Amino acid sequence: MLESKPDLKEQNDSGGEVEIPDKEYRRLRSLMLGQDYEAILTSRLENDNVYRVSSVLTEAFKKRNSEDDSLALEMSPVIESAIDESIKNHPERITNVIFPIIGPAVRKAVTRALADLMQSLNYVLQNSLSVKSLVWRIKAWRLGVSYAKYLLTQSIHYQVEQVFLIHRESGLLIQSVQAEGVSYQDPDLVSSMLSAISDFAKDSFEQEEARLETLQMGDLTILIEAGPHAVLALAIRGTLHADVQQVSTELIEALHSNFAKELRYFDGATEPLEPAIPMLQEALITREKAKKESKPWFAIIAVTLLLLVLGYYSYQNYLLQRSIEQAVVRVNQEPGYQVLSRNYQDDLLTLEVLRSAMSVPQNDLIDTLKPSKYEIVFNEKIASIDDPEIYLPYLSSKYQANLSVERGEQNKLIILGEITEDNLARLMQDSLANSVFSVEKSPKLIIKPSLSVQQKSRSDFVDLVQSINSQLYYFQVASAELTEESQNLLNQNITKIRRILDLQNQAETTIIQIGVFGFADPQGSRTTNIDLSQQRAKLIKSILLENEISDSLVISWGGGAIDMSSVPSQYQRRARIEILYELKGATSHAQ
Amino acid sequence: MLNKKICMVGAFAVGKTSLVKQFVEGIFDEKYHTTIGVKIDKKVIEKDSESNTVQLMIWDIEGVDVFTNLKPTYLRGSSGIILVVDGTRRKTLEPAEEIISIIKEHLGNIPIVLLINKSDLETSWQFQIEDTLTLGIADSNIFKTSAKNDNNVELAFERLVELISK
Repeated sequence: MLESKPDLKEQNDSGGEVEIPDKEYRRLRSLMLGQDYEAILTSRLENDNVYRVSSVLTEAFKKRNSEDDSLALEMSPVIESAIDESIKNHPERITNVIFPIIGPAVRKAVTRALADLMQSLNYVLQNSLSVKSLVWRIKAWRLGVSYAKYLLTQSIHYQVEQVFLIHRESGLLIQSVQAEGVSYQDPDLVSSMLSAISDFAKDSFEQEEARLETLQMGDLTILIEAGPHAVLALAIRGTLHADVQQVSTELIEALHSNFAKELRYFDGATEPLEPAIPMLQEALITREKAKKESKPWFAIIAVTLLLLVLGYYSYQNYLLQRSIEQAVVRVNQEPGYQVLSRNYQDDLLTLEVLRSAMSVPQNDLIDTLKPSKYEIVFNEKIASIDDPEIYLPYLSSKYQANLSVERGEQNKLIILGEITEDNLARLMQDSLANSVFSVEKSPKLIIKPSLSVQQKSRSDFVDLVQSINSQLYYFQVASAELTEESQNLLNQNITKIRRILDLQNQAETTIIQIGVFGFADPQGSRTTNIDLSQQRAKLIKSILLENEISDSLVISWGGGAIDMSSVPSQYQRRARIEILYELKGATSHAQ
Repeated sequence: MLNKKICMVGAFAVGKTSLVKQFVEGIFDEKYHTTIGVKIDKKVIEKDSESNTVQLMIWDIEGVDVFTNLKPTYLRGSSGIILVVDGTRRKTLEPAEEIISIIKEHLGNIPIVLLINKSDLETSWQFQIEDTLTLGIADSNIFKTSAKNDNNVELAFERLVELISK
C-alpha cells in the first residue's frame, strides 16, 4: 500500500523548526485519526488515481497501441462480451445500425456468387450441343456476349411501372411515382392493401419474423423490399430480374440513409419526404428485349434522297438567282438602260427599266441576254430629260442631288442642282445619264441635254451605219463558210443593223438599201471565183433575212477576184455590208 | 395534408362496413356482406388549411366472433379506433371489451370512439349508453349512429379526427 512520507518537521511558536521523531509522529497520528486513518487514506488515493488515469487514458491507449498489439488482444474479449450483451438487450438498435452497412456487403457477396454461377452455367451450356443451342451460340457470338448471358437476355423484358414508399408500421403511403402512361388504382389504397395482404399472410401462416417479398398476378409482379421504418413496393410488368431486385435493395438502403429521421418519426405528414421522389423515379426502369442492332437503311436512303432533292433544288435556285443577277448587271451596263426593280414569278423575269429614247430597243437587248430557263419582259419607261415625273426624281434620288429643271437658250432644258464630288463622279459614269445629256459643274451642277432627241438619234444612227459599213467578214479557203471571228462579228452587227432600222424615224432618215458584196481570192477560174463570191454574199444576205431584216432592202452581189495581187489572199476572201440611207429633207447618203 | 390510419373494429354484423360506406360514399346497402380479412377505404376530411387537412385510411377489419379473433397486426400504426357495437344485440358488448384490451395492449392509450349502431331501431335496443360504461370510454366519445339513416355517422368520424389531430 502506498503511504505518504510524513513530514518530520514542525514549526514552533517562534517560527523556528523543531525536529519531531518519526515514531512519535506516527503515534500522534494514530491517536488523532484512529482506525479511520487507513480508510481516509485509501479513499483519497483511489480518487486521485481515477482522476490521474482518466486524464491520460486516451494517450496511454494510443501510445501502447503504437508499440504493440497487446492492448487489442487484451480488449477483444471485453468488446466481444459487450457486443453480445448489447445484442441480447437491444437487437433492433444493432440491426438499425448495421442495416445500411450489411446490405451492400451481402449484395457484393451475392453478386460474386452469381458471377461464379454464371461461369459454371456457361461452362455447362458450352458443352451441350443441340441445333437450337448452336443457333443461339452463333447469335451470342455475333452480339459479342457470352452464351449464358445471351440466354438470359432472351427472357428479359420488364418495366417497373410504379414505385410505392410505404410506412412500415401503419401501411400509409409516404410517396409514390409511376411510369408514364400507366394508370392504377388510388396509390393510397394500393399501399394500404399491400400492407394488409402482408399482415394477412403473416397472421395466416404465423410467420411473424418472415415477410412477404413478392406478389404475382399474371405478368405483374409486386416486389416488396422492407427496411426498418419503411417498405418499398415495386410494380413490375414482365419478368422479375435481378437488376430490379438490386435497384430496390439499394433504394431502400439509400432512403433509410438519407431520410433516417423523417422515416423514423413519420406521423402521416408526407411533405418532408417529397425530396425522396426523384430517388423513387430512378427506380422506374425499363428493359427491352435485346434487339439486333441493324443499320436503319430505309431511314438512311430516305434522308439521302431528301438531301439530294433539296441539294438539287438549292443548286437550281442558286443558278437561277445568279442568272437573274447577271441579266440585271448586263442590262445596267447597256448604255441608256437603268433597272429600277425586278420581279421573278412563274418563269418570267419582269424588269422595270428606265431607258433613254436612243438606246438599243428592248427586244434586241433581250436577245443578247438569252436566258434559257425563263422569259424576260421589260416594263420600260422612256427616260426623257424633260419628264419631271420619272427621270428627274430618279436622278435626284440616286445621286442625292436636289435637281430642278429650267429652260435655257433656244428653249433647251437645263437641270440645276447640287451634288457631292463622289456622287458627281458616279453620275459622270452613268451610262443612261450620259446617253441623254452632258454634265457640267460650274459653279453648280448643270446638266444639259447635249443634243436634241432628233440630233442625238441621227448622230447615233450615222455612227452605227459607219460602223457597219466599215466592217469586213472573212471566209474559209474555197468555201462560203465564215471564219469563226467573222461569224461572231456578224452576229454583233446584226443587232446594230436592227437598231439602225429602229432609229430611222427618230433620226429622220430612211434606209434605201442594204447591199452585201462578196469577193474571192484569185485561186481557181474566174467563173468559179465569181460563183464563190456570190455564194458568200448570199450567205450573209440569208443570215440578215433570218434576223427579220426585210428582203426588200437587201441585195447581194458577187464580184469574184478583184483585188491587187499584193493583197493577202485571206483578206481577198471577204464580204462587206453597205447601208445606204438618205436624210429626210436632203439628198445624201453615207457609207 | 396528414395521412392517418384508423381502424373500424367490433363484433360481426354490427354495421362497420355500412358505416364506412355511408361515411365515404354516402350510400347504404340493405344487403349484408361479411368482411373477410380487411377492407380499406379512403376519405379526405377538408380543413381550413391544406396542412390541417386529414386523409383517413379506414381499415375496416373483419368482425369478431367466436371463431374469429381480432388480429392485432391490422391495428399496427393506427392513430385512432372506431369501435362499433350493435344496440339491438347486447352480446356485441362482450367482444367490445376484449377488443379494447387488445387495443390497449398493442397500441397503448390511443383515441377510441364508440359507435352504438342501428339507432334507427332504437326501440328494439337491448341496452343503453349507460351499459357501455364498463368499456371506459368518455361520454363525449360515444355516439348513437345509424348507417341506414345517416345519423351521427359523419359526426362520429369527425370526433375521432379531432382526437387524433390533437
